[in-house]
Amino acid sequence: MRALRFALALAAIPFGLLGYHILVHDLHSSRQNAVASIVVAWTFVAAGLVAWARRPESRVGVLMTFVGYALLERKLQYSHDSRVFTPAFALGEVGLGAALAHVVLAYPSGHLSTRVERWFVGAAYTAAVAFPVAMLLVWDYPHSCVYDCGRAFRQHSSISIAPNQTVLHALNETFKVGVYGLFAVVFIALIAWRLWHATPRGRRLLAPLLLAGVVAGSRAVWGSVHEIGGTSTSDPFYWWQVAGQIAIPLALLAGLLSARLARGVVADLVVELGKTPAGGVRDALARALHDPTLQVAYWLPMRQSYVDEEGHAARLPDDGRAVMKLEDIAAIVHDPELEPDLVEAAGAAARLALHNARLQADVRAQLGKVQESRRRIVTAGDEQRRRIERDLHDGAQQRLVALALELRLAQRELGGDLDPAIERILGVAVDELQVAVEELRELARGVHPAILTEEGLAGALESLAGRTPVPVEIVSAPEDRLPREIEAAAYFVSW
Amino acid sequence: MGRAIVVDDHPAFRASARRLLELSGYEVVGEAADGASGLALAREHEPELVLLDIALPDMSGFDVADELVEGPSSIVFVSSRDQRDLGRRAKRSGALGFIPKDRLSEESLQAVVESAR
Repeated sequence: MRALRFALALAAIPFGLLGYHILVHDLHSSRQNAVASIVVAWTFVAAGLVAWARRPESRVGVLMTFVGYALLERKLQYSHDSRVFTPAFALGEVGLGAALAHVVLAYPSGHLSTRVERWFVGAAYTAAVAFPVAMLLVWDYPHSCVYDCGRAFRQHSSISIAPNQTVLHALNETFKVGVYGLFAVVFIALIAWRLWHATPRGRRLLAPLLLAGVVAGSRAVWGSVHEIGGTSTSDPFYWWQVAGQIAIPLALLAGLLSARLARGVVADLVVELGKTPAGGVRDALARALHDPTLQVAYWLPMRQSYVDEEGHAARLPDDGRAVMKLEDIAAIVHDPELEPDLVEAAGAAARLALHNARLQADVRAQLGKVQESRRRIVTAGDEQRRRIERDLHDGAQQRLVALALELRLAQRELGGDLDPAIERILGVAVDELQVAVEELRELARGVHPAILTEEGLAGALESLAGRTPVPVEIVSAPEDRLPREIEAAAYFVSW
Repeated sequence: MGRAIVVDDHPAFRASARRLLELSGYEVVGEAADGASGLALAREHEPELVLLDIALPDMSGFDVADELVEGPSSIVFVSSRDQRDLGRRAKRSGALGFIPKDRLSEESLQAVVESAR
């Protein structure tokens, strides 16, 4: 591949010089404009080959190189030799009309991501070839002319089969308005749509290239408007077009350069991590990778699951965000627009710090489990106290109050016939029973007050204050019900 | 004195309460062991007095009282708990009063009934 790229780089030089010769001698273009036109094509070839070498997994480099060669090939259509003019005219609009849109929309992966984009690029390639070929088929020599029509010389189509100047003129007008107008509007709308739906990081990455695309597309719209209006689009728009076309490959190079700078930031990350506490690893990584949405999930081998920094269970996302796993330590969830190599390098740099943070997260997770266990014990204890109180109330207490009532009824039914000694014994028994009931009631209340279950903390505190020998004023108590364990804890603190 | 019913889930207490009410001059027309049966009994007989336990197996005695408060029956709560353990609902209910079970006697019952007149 390196040899092929080298050969393509070398071949672009004579190809460009040939194009320059044709521009100056056959099209009678100014040397200044001819140089600019060739420089645009060479910039695409050079940037494309660099991108191809640096990011071979992306097709952007190949596409950029193709655009550059297509732009060089476009110069051949101005040749006075019909054998050169005919194929060059047939394919002359591919570079500027379709391949340029293709590379912009496919950046940075090299693949078109939506069906609309694929349909648009396919239609652009089709129109860029179909219209010129149709024009060549109806080319009416010596009346037909598309370029440099002020001179006597007329180009000749080698494949003209039904010469018709009117049809050719209609095709030419439709092509210019359609390809440079309608297609350009759709192109700009697709760029805007991509920017709108991109992640913050992706937006920053796409912005320079898409801006260049918008510049070129705007020029095309402007040119087609002038074509409809019948006015010239000469010098100012020519240079506008040149600037826009050069900006596209330069923006790509800037994108590559920013990736290299980001690798420098990873080196700084190592230094920063030396001063960062374990809890700050995520923030340091987010800063280094310029991804504020970055998250870190720590792997706990004993639990075979991920947790966050606080030790709470964490799930890796399945919403399209990218995940880079550091074996047995952590997973970095990041913006999918980030280069995987870059995230991997940052992860490797932060490996030790992530390991420490994982240990802390593990401790927190275990602490959480202990707290949960304590909570369950407290709940179980509370439930047990509640059950004992209920058993006392429904069992012994009921039997004692029934017995007290029976004795009282016996006193009443025996009345005046009762032996004074027995009457005294019965009286003592009733009194003792009442004391026993009262003590049992106090015991049950101490185990768990029923009013706490039935009315909550406010009612229970009110009852408690009413039984206290010293005056107690309740200034404030929660009227809403709280979890049982909290109500019980608050009550027994006050008891 | 009139008719009365006893609503309490403890059979021994119901039997003792029946005797107490009869000694106090009431005709006990029925006994119920839970809130739903007590409500049915009260609606059927429309007694002058309902001796109503607060802790019933199916519902609270307060809930039973809320259903009966618009009717012709006077309600006296009984419970083995202390009045101060019953909270605000006891105060808000439309009952004549409350007697702890261990203090239930002809005199205490008469005092509660007469205090309402």
